[in-house]
Amino acid sequence: MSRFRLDPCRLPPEAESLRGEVREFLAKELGDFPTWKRAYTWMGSDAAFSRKVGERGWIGMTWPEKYGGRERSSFERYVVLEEMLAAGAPVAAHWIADRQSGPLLMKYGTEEQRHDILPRICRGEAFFCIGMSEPDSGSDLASVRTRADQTANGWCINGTKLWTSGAAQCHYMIALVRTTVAEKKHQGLSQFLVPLDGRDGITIRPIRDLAGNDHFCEVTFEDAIVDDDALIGDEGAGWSQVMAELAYERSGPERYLSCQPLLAELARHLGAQAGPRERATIGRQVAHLATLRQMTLSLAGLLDRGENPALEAAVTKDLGGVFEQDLPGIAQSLLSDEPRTDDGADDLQQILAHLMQNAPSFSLRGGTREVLRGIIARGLGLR
Amino acid sequence: MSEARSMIADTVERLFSESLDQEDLARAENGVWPTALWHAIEETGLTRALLRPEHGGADGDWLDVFEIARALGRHSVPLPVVETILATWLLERAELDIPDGPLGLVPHPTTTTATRLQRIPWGRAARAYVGLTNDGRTDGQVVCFSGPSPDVAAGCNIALDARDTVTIRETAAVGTTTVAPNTVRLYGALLRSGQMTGALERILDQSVQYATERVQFGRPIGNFQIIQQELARLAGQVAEATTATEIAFRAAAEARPNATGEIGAEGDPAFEIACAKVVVGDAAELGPRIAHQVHGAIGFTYEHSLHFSTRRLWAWRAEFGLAEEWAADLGTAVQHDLVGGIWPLVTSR
Ligand SMILES: Cc1cc2nc3c(=O)[nH]c(=O)nc-3n(C[C@H](O)[C@H](O)[C@H](O)COP(=O)(O)OP(=O)(O)OC[C@H]3O[C@@H](n4cnc5c(N)ncnc54)[C@H](O)[C@@H]3O)c2cc1C
Repeated sequence: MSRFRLDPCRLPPEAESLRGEVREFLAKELGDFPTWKRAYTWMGSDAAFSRKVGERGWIGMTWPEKYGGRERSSFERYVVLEEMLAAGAPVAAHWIADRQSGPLLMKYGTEEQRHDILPRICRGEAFFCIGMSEPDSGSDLASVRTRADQTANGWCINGTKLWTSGAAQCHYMIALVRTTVAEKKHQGLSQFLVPLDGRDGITIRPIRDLAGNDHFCEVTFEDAIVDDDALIGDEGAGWSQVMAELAYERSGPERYLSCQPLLAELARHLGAQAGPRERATIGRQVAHLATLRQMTLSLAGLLDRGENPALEAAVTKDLGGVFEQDLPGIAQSLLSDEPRTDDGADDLQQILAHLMQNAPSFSLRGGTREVLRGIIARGLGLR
Repeated sequence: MSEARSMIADTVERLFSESLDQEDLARAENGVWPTALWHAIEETGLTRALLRPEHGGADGDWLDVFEIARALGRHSVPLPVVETILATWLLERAELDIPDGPLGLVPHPTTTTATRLQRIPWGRAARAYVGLTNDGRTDGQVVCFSGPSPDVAAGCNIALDARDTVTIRETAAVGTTTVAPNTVRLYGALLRSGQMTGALERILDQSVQYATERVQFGRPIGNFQIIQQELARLAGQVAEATTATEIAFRAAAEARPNATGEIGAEGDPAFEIACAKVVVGDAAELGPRIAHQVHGAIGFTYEHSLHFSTRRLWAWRAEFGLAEEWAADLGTAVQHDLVGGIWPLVTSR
């Protein structure tokens, strides 16, 4: 009867009991972590923190033990993720490997790739970035032009990847490139595991974002050589593999929690003296937050049952993106203070400043709002 | 979904789609009570869905009622069914006699003697009037006015569903046990959220359907990207409303028997119901706007059926607390730190 399979889902007791452990860990590890830095959430990177998460067994935690995983349930992983995000923990370094690169290697990688790399991901020692977008290929991802040609020495890569988050701190990129020029643009694409180990032919240039952070990068390939076995999965199957990768990317809890530290700090700042308008505003955000969390839990349930929640994930991500994008403006409307990052700015002003400036990206990264709504329209039978 | 629940969903869907058409809806707006449909509803046991078998009930839970309310909303059923469900449930809890027939639910606190009851859904047809006495602080007593022929002044909401003023001259029967003072407002909001979810589902279905049929510039308007994007937004509103409402009904189904209607308390559905009325109330703003835009002028006519749903959405969102009022209640709980912070609250539910 419903168009969406968003059945209510409840976390099993073993997942709930992990919550206390994660909160304790975060309280200890982030004891002196500045409040304003929490605004970076999953864009904040700290290799030492990632290693500590790895020590606890919370990276790649659902993977088989032979690959360094802990064989925990997907619900236990869900709890770890949402607690990290809500606390604004600096998880960026290991986030992408845990979320999509590792699962991709598990599904399509060779046994050698898995044994070599997955245990290091689990320890928080191997960080990954996503090499999809290019200067002329954003939403139209299948139009990528970076190419790899087979040579006597291995695959030879030429082209440019753009907006690659964290590339300068990462050990590997999984790149979507063209291996044959096919008639249809979705054909002839392949994925490669590219070591970012300083080898010849690869140049990484951080790009300053509007808020002054060097978060994403341009990565250029000029006759960069990678081994024959750097190919992931099948040559020419890159498009279906990258769609699977995007499904991992889009169904997690990070898509509505980017502003959680702001909401928490705002509520704390307004305190018990909050007037009727402030209370109604906070209450409205709480209602949507709680509902978006339940939708995300339903997605976790679908994933746990092995279903592909592409449509439900697009709906949830679109709503979550609007929600988190609205929050800085809503917070500002309740505050007389301006957003600030200079000396003398308090925590709330700094958090507001950061998130206000980052909010435009919430409906771009991981597929724009328009692209998501296109997926939903297809689900409605309109395309 | 449990088997019993999907059976109920199928039954009510069939009942309403077979026995209610657009002409019936128009007749009801002119004050004609759909007698046959009411009887079918009573015979199916919908009005006593929550009661124990010894009271002729189906021993159902609130998730069953979700399916009933949703179908009532989807079909714009112009009868006081959810009101009677809540009234019979209150009467059973208070150990009062439960009359047959439609019951008038008193939305606002009342006294036990001679009084004027405002905005009673189908007060003109009710066999008895059921409400709560309270001053908003202490527990309420369930009261039931079932004396003969009170004065009824007809009124209606913008969907032309009856909302009557009833003048009572007698003294009420008063229940033996008390309930939380906000029980009617709380469960009224829950039931309206259920109906609104159904109405939102309906306008999405109608809009998608229309977009594939209406041709302009030589193609179905659903081929235009801007229409697709707007319908995707509408679908998002429906999805969020459905989740919020289903979670609220689940919380009601699992409530402690002595829950006090306190936001954030364990085993109390008040938090989830408040969230639902906020989310559904917000969807009732954006949803009809998009549905009407997609339908163009034809959707603005009386002849087209879209308005049966959209006018109800606008009427229902103002009953049993606006989104703004429930949001203020949620905000008050959070700001007074009655609940220990937003994230701990949200994850404890
Ligand atoms: C903070 C941040 C981090 C990122 N990190 C990464 C990363 O790690 N790796 C990576 O590969 N990429 C990354 N990206 C890139 C991101 O995936 C792209 O920005 C996104 O896919 C959109 O591409 P574009 O920016 O080229 O915009 P374009 O595709 O040029 O789109 C511009 C506008 O046009 C709209 N548009 C485009 N096509 C259509 C259409 N057919 N119909 C309707 N509207 C359309 C878009 O929705 C958008 O509003 C990141 C981006 C940001 C902002």
